[in-house]
Amino acid sequence: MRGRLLVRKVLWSVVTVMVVITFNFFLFRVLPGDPAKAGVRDPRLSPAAVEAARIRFGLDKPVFLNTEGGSLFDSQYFHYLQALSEGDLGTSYAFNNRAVTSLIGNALRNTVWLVLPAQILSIGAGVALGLWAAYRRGTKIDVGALTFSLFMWALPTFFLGILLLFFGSRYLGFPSAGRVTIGANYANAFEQFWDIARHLFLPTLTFTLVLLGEYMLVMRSSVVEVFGEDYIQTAKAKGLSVFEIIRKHAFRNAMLPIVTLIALNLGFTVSGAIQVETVFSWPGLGKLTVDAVSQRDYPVLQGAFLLLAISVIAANLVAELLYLRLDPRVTEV
Amino acid sequence: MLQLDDVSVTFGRPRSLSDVIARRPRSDVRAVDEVSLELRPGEVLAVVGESGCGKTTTANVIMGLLSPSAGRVLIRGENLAGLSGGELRRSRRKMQMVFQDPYESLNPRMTVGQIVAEPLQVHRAATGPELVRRVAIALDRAGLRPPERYLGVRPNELSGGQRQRVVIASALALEPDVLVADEPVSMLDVSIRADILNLLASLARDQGIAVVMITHDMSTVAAYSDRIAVMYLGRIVETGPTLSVLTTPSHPYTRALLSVVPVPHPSQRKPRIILSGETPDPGRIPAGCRFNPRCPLVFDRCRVDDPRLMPAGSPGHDAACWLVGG
Amino acid sequence: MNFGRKLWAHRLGRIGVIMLGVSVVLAIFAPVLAPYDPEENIRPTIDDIYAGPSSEHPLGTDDAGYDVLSLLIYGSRVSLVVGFAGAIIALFIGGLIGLVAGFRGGKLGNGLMRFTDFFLVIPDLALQIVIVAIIGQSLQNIILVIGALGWTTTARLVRAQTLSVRERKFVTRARAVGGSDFYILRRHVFPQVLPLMLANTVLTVSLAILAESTLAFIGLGDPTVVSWGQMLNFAFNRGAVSAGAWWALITPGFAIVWVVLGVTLVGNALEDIVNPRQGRHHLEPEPIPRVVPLVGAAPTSALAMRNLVVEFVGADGTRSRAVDDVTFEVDKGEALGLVGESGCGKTTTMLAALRLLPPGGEIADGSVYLHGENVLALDEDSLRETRWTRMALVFQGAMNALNPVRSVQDQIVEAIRAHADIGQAEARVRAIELLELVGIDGDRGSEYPHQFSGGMRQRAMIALALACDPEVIVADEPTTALDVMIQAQVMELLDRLRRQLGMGMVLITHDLALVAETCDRVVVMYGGIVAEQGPVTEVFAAPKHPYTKLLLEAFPDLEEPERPLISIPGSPPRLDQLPPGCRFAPRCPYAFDRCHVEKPPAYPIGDRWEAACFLLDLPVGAALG
Repeated sequence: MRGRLLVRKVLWSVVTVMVVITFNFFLFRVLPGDPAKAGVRDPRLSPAAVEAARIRFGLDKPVFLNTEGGSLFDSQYFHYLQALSEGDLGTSYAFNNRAVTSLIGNALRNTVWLVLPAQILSIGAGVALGLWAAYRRGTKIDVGALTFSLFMWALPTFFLGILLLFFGSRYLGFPSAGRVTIGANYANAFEQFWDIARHLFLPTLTFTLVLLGEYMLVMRSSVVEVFGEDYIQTAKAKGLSVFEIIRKHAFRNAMLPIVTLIALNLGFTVSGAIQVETVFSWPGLGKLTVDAVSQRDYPVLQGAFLLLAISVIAANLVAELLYLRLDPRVTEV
Repeated sequence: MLQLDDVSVTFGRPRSLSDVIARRPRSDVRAVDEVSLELRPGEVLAVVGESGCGKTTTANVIMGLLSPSAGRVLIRGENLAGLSGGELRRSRRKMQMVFQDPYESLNPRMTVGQIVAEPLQVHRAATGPELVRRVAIALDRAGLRPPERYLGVRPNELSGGQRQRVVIASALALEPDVLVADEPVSMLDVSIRADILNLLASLARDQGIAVVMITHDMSTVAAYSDRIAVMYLGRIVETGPTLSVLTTPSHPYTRALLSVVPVPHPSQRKPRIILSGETPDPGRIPAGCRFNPRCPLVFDRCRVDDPRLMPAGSPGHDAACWLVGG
Repeated sequence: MNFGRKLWAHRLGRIGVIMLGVSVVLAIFAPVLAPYDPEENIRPTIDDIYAGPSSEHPLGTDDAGYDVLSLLIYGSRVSLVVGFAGAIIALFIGGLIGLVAGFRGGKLGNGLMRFTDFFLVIPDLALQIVIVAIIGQSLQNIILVIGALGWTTTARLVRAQTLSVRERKFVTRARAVGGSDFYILRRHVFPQVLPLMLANTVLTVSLAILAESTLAFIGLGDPTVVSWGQMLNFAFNRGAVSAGAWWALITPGFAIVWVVLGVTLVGNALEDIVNPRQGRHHLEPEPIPRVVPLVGAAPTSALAMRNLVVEFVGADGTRSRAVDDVTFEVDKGEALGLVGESGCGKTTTMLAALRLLPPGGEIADGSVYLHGENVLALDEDSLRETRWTRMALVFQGAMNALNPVRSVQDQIVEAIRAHADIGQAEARVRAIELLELVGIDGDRGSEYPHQFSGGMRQRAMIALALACDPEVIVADEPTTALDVMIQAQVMELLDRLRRQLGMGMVLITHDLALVAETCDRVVVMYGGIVAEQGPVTEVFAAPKHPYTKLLLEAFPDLEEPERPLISIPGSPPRLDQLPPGCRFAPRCPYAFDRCHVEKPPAYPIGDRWEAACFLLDLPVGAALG
């Protein structure tokens, strides 16, 4: 029966992805103005040249379904789907004829370098600190932890970035932008790695701090709740030590809400990435998205948004499946 | 007053897509199976049984909250199913319920006066001073005197016993003919149960209300009911005047049930018939007599033929067992 | 619901209200309070740009020469307006969807939830960016987008709350009375859901403020208004970092933090008020009990309670005495019934024996001897060793007495291995043996508690209690939630095992009949004291304490159906308002003057039979029966 549940969840994710793709497609067709002109950007072009551009971009075809003769699926939408299945996300308006896919690919890699270590650090530290704060409920440690979490919540991510950037680059010698020092020559791979690491430090720190507050808070309240459950009293009555009780009973039960939180937080991770990359000019997917907006580079924007949404859906699915594995009680969606 | 004629209630289990594709048969749950009951004014009828026996579903049918999948519900001879919407609502006023949990059944944000007035307001039976008058009468009949003192009080200021009286008062507001009490005292301390049970019995005796008491507590039944119906897996397996059923139980299930009820007298340790296993799932009722897998007196016919209620000696005392008749 | 007063009384809530209040005042009175008007066109000179704090400009100037302080003050308007407007839109949409989904359920409810989940999965900032880029950067658009995308959490919350309220018994009752769906929603469900909705909306305000400032920082804000995010955008992108102009860079950020913090504190306080959480738990450090020196020889019985006193300390420091001077003994092989109604202290007494009191509970006096050793004098390690090996508890087999995410046999194995140096495999064999001993098929050991029926769970608890061969087993209301036939099965099992293994048993229950059937001796408790204790046959035949007598008369007897039952008028005493003198005196029909003034000691009646009643101190013939 739980196998069926698994299948249902996967199917639902696939459906969501299809809806997002369709939504994404139509969103950009709602744009004011003529896409062909926007794509070409040169106001001096003759109407004939604009028409040629229109045909080149496939914008002469009907948008959703072709009822004008020929195949029903000879429309912009289905061409788009076909292109997607071949991994073609179009060409950028701003970066002359560069494939969106390659732009996004590079950016994605950089974003993963930023996000992944930060997530791992913040989950690890958040869980540990939350556990500690819960155990020492009501003491100064707990109060300190709660205050920290509260501040992290109220502090906008980009502002924390600005603060760290300001003090880090002015007083601690950290670089203030980019992924690598411009015009640097490296003697070996290690030097290159070190340069990138120096650039990565402040953004990762920003990200980690912001996520840390939230994980710690949720872990703490989850642990406090678990500590109050009847089976903890049973475990105590059996003669187990506090450490054993935490390890064998409290921990696993308290982690369940964390898994859910990780899933829910993925959307936040994206927004955090956008903000941090913008502040530190880290060439990731977030910065690419923001740049695309200011340059009205719609193919890139469309591709980036799609990729962001799909990553979140996929990661969300993984988290849900993990939860299913951890909690034997779950039998319904 | 109120009669159930061969009433059955079947709940369908929702089928998933894969069930349909695999053409699995419907596994419906027969919560109530051909139950016939008669409620007479001024009488307390106890419906007893363990969890899953269908007594709560039966109560819902009596209250008109659930329509039977088969059989008829008759109020003063009239079939409920044939009534129009408005007539149905008017009939439903005459059946009221007393609930088990006096701590949760009352909305903590409402005052006692508002709670007791609610049935009258919902059915638009009275307004203004008439409403207040009827609320006061109901509170008085439920033993909360003087009624004025309780009108503005909130439930959390009252004791368990008082709260239950509020529940009873609200049930009395519409001057019902039938009162269904679902485990009315199981959540109260023993030392205060007698008052509430006495109240219910006096409502039957003095006001002529037909009281149905749903319970699993056989000891209470002994002191407060006139007739009793024992249910097992949706069927009434024995019924009759309380004293007759308790002193000469005819169905093996009733006998076993009565034998294991503890009695506060250490000297009398009677032989106990402890059945093995648990009551089967109502979705998988055994063939033949539904009690046969656990019956200590089972024989061949029991596994094949499903017995109906048959006379078991005294007048009005019936049992559904092949040992009794047939 | 006087929220205002409660909010003010809440410490953090008060701070939040003040912080928020300051921002609101600044926003409303901006034209009066701000030293300069940001709309005014100025022609800055080079000195005016990024000028540091001075007497003219207390917070310096920005990249265009405008006074930072004034910009900050005016900026509060945008933040507050966007915050509240966006949150209100989200409240309406989310509240409506949540209420309908929770109340109706079924296909409509599920469909709405799928719709909500879809939006939850899409990264919100990315979506906001895309939409604002398309529809334009006006303040109204921004408010709309934030509100239209911010309802998802509210919807989930409202739906969950509606679902749980819908299941509450007073809603069922309203339905039974005949209320229509709409009436029930209006009168019963909505008032219960509303407070949580409001508390959550306040938190949504903080999210909306953060969203607006983020959008503005990225460059998607409304360029015609002053907003803090916009200020940060300009400062950051126009060289404030390299110019070292911290006043232009840091102050707007802190302004955002100020408002969001204020709103969040208020929202958290409201949530606390609506849904107060206990917060105390079983693993808190415990007070070390007093050790009363032994007088005379150590008790030889398996369990001996001597003058035990347990008090509970409330959050405000008030003390209530839950157990007062309780003394009794249990021998090996003996079954003792500990009987009383709710609040009499029977469970607390037995929990104290293993020092397992709930948070706030303290053993204030007395001693507990297990196998001759004073449990209260043991250090941590010895106490852990004693638990389960000398005495074990059978908790009520409710869902949560066993860890729901671990298998049943694992939890038995754990108990075994905690006290014996046995390997995993061997312990598992023993655990399965124990399960079979209580009538559970050994194969089912690897299942989880929720897969067991109520009766089976209770048996599993018994198996667990036997894991370390205890001398005394304490069963706390083992049959309360069970059907009478299952009850008989479980009691028969307990009785058989007890005799077989020669254990002492304490049966905690409110059911006198159960005690009559299974126990040798009985201890009757009332209001924290022992009213009467003695051999079951004697006490039940001729009870000497008025409470025992009246309780017996209130108990229905299947074999005497004609006997009228009585009620004892009044209620048990509140533990923080105990009467002077005899605890039962206010309700006792036999009470006389002395009873209301002095506490009666336990008077001996027969062999190990005593009752705490002054009637026993009167000349022979005046006492009961």
